[in-house]
Amino acid sequence: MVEILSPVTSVEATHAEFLFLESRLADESRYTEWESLWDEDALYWVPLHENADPEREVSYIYDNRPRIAKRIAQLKTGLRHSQTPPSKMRRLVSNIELLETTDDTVTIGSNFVLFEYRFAMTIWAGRSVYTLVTNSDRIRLRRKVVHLVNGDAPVSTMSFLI
Amino acid sequence: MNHRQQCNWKMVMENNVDGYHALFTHPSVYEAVRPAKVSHQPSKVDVIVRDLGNGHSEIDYTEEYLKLDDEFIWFGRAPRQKLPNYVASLEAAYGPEKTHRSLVVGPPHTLVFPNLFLAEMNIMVVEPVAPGETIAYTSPALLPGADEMNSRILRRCEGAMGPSGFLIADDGEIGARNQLGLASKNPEWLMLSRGFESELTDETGTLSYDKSAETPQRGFWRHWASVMGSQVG
Repeated sequence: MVEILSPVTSVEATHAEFLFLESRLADESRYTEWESLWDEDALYWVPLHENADPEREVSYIYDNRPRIAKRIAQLKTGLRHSQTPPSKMRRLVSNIELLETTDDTVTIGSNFVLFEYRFAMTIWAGRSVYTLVTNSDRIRLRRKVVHLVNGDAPVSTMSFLI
Repeated sequence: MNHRQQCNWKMVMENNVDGYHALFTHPSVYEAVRPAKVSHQPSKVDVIVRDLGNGHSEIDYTEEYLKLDDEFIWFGRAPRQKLPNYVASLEAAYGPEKTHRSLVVGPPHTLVFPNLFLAEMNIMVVEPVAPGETIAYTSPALLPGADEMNSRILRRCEGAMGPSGFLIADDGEIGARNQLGLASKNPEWLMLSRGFESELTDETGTLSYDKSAETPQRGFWRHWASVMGSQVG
């Protein structure tokens, strides 16, 4: 995991707002709008544990940009049974910290709790690490890595946008 | 990867060797991602479903793939040129003819009774937790020293399998719906007679060239019933 850059450096408001927007679009299964947040160079990754090596270990999700597009296209067919109807979801995003900055990116850590209701209520929790591209007028999502607290344990079907 | 599913373990196993469920369960993949690797119309393909005995059963693509004679149909149709070291190692060990045949035929799609499923380049082990709850553990079958294969095997495993897989997430959903339906106990019985009249017997077991025949399912359930102490016709 990336070490925190500085506990006194705050995350810019527009970057925090981007995280909240991304979370709300995921919660509401607004697939097209959620996909439009992504950069062309993208990684959407849900490993089984925090120190996973994706070249040697399987992940729950390890989507590059083309696979994100396929995942969204599948959800949009209306025939993705495990999300027909879509889960009802609301997530809380908090403990937002700046982890790293470069000339054109910021990396932000955050915690989340997600309440997902379909057949039953399922609670998901973990840490999301976002890398945002910030060098143009529109912020774009380059990386979202979701470390589930229970990634090592059996998890329920997770075909919604985590 | 570890996937908790809300259905009986036998549903998870049986589904793996069901030759026709994909038509209903996976159209979102064929519509949005890629066409099915072979036709789902049983009359158009030489795919065999087989009850191997003792509850073991499989969907056997060998004849169909040999007829098509294309390598890696089972592996996303990866071109040989992308896997030069793996192919060269195989040819050095087994010669070009056997290598070509192996790359055409691919790995098995076979259920080993009671709870092991050889899912081509993935291995699934199923653990019953409760009558309506099952954990499926899935691992990619990685090949030591074959990095160019392993990278694709990993990404294909994530694409298909587990709680977020383009395929298995929906198999789990259908299992959960079936479990809810079964709880009504109405109707009292489910028929698994499909394709019974099409079955043949040879030294490999009981088989059917009708991919939609319930031959593997019958083999699985009949053996389960027998080890549980009852006889099924």
